[in-house]
Amino acid sequence: MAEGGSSVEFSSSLANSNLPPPRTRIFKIIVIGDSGVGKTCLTYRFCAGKFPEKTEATIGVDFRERLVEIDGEKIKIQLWDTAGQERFRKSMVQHYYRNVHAVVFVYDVTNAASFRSLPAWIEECKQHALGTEVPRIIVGNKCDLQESIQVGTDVAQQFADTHSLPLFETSAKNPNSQGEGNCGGGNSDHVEAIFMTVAHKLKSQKPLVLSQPAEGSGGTINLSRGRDDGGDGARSWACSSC
Amino acid sequence: MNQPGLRASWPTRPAVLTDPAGVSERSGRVLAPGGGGRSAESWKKDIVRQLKHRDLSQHAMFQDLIRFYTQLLEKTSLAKGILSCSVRRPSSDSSSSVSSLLQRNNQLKKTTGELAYQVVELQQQIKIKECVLEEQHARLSEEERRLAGVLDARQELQERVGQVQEKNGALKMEYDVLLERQREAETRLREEKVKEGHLLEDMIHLKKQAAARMNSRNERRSRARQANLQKELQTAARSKVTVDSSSSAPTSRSTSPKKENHDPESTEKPHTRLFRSASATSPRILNSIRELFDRKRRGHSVCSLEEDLMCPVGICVSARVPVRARQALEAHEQGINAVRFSSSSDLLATGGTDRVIKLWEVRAGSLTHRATLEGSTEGVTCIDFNPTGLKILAASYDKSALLWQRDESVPKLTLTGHSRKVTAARFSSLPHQVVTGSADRTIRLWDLHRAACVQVADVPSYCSDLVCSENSIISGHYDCKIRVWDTRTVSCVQELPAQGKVTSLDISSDHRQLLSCCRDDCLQLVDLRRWSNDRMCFRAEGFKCGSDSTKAVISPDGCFLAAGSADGAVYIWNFSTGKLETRLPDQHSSSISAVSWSLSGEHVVSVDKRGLAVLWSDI
Repeated sequence: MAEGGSSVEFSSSLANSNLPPPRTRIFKIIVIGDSGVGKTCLTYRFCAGKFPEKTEATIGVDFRERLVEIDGEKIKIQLWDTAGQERFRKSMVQHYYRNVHAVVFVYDVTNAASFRSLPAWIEECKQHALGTEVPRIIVGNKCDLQESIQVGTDVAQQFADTHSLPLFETSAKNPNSQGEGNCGGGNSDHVEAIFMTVAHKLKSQKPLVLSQPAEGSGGTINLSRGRDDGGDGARSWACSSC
Repeated sequence: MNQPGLRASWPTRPAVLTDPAGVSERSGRVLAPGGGGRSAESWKKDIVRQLKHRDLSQHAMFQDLIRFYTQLLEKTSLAKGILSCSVRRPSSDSSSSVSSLLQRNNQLKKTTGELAYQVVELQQQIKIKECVLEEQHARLSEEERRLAGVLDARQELQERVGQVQEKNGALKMEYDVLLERQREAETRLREEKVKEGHLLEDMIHLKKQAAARMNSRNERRSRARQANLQKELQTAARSKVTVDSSSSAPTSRSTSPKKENHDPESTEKPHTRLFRSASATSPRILNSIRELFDRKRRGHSVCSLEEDLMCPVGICVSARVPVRARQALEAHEQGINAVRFSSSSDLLATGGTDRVIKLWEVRAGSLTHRATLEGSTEGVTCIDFNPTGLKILAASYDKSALLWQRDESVPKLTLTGHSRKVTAARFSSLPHQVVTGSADRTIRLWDLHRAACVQVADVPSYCSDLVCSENSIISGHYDCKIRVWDTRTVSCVQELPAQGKVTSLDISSDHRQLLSCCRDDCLQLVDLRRWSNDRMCFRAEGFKCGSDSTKAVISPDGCFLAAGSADGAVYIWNFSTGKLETRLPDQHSSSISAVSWSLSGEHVVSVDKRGLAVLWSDI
């Protein structure tokens, strides 16, 4: 659009008297993983607070949003529940990755194949020009099914370490049933804790910085508060469950 | 004396002897039909014949015996006769002869005994034969019984075969029916699968659009946020100047609380801003328009029909003939092929060989660049605004037509299907239909909801331009014909002759007059209500149609005609007098490709093959 240069022209009098309301920030988080690992259930659990009765294969993408308050700021978490089946997602992939703020890779702890395809998902993420600056996490779902676990925590942790990604294990169905390594602690909802961790990370990583470089006006102030907060290394921000 | 009596009695003996066989035969014959029960069959006759034959052969055997026996008896009687003679004679003959006779008598007696023995033997043989015969009869009857039994069984089996065949027939029929049903079910399945595929495709398409919308919404929001932030920062920076004691740190802090304060009102504010900014300067208008779109789209995520209804469509009362150029602008890097004013605002679109469409706003007598629409991979040939001015349709050399939302730089839809360059693209009278004409000699109707071609009309010649009226499409062709199509049936309802290759068509805003520009350097005006052959011709000295796509237009009030000439001058005719009203030279240095008259009637823009756009007005 052509208004790029015109933003300088805002007259101060009007802006002073009638500041347009700053909209709530939106964090676009995409949830990626094989078909049937429980992406829909995870996002539903986070946004609706309960486990969905019955889900069908997601076609294309479903959007779920939840307004959360972090450090007194209202933030809208926009989850993109993507389709796992190739035929339902092809030709949509570039939409998924456009301006995404965080990526959640999901695998099914009772399905080793879904774990083995994680590198492909990570590769896809890389191909869409998402470097390490976009926070990414790995979530192992369905860990309430203790008796049929195929992917051990140690194996998953090893994998996560090689990719420098935080690992979480949880269950969308029964998030509190987790034994050891419960990041949320106590009786809080573990799924929520995971997404809130991501949101906190995003909030601290994305401070009030104007991405548009200051044009003409020397008054641009780079608010580096957030950067200082999150400056203690990208790897230390998550509490992985190992 | 005895001899004749004996001889006479001989014939009876064989009869007596043979009788038992005859009786048994007869009884056998009687028995056979009784035991068999089923007479008049060939096998019976055969048996009878065989029996008769045996009877005859055996009879012959006994005949010999009888004959021997008869001979023997004859001999015996003869010997007796001789003996009786010799017995009387010995008294007179010698005793030797008597002894010899006695000897012979003894011999004869011996022979007689032997013969008797033979008879007994033969009789025994007969008995044996009879026994065999009887046995055979018994066997025969038994066989017959068995045969009858087997026949019964056979019949039974045949009946069963019949039943089974019947059953088989029924089963076969059932099978056929089932097969048919299976085939039907399979066809249905296939159809359903195809349908499913289509639905899935549609769904994915919708999802894709939704995702794109969500993305652009996010982008807009972040842009708006950034703009707000920037503004706040500027404010803060300025306030810092007045309140000199504050440092940069408080300023940065002061921005965030403000944000939070305003947060709850976020949904209400854009309204007030919109109305407030209606008369203000450009960036805020843009902002407000953008926010308006933003709000609208949130409400109607899939179809934006109301968006189309909300903008009023203006009507021009009177057009003013321009007299001077207000601005000459190098609008495009290469030649401009198309120019069109929006019918709802003073927005202008130009499209050229350099593949982009530029949107301009006419303000204070000059053209202000507002946006660039990209997406075409080849030069643009034709541009059209929809009646509300929110959508822009363009035809392109890349064999497609593209549709943009006015505020988005990437095309919302790309309509592909033509096999050669698309020369004309227009919004139809139906809100979600567009019509394209192409060099591939087809005219296509597209449904924007489905982004698909709904109808194709084959035309005999290269279509250079087309216009839409209610329920009809009028197309101009290189074969010097103007054709009228009924959109409901997609059939050619009328052909009008033209003097040369038709380069452009335009229809007056009341849909009564059709203007055509031909290569014979003459503009023709046809009254669409009469469809008569009398038409007005507009010529002028020096006016020369510069190319095969030179566009001429009718002024929005229908009083003037404007066209650009190969000599770089704009010619304007008066419709009522039929005379040249004015000639506007000296601005273009090359052939003018198109002109457009603004809806308000006060501006005319002409574009040429070198990328120059000239804004003309009457003041």
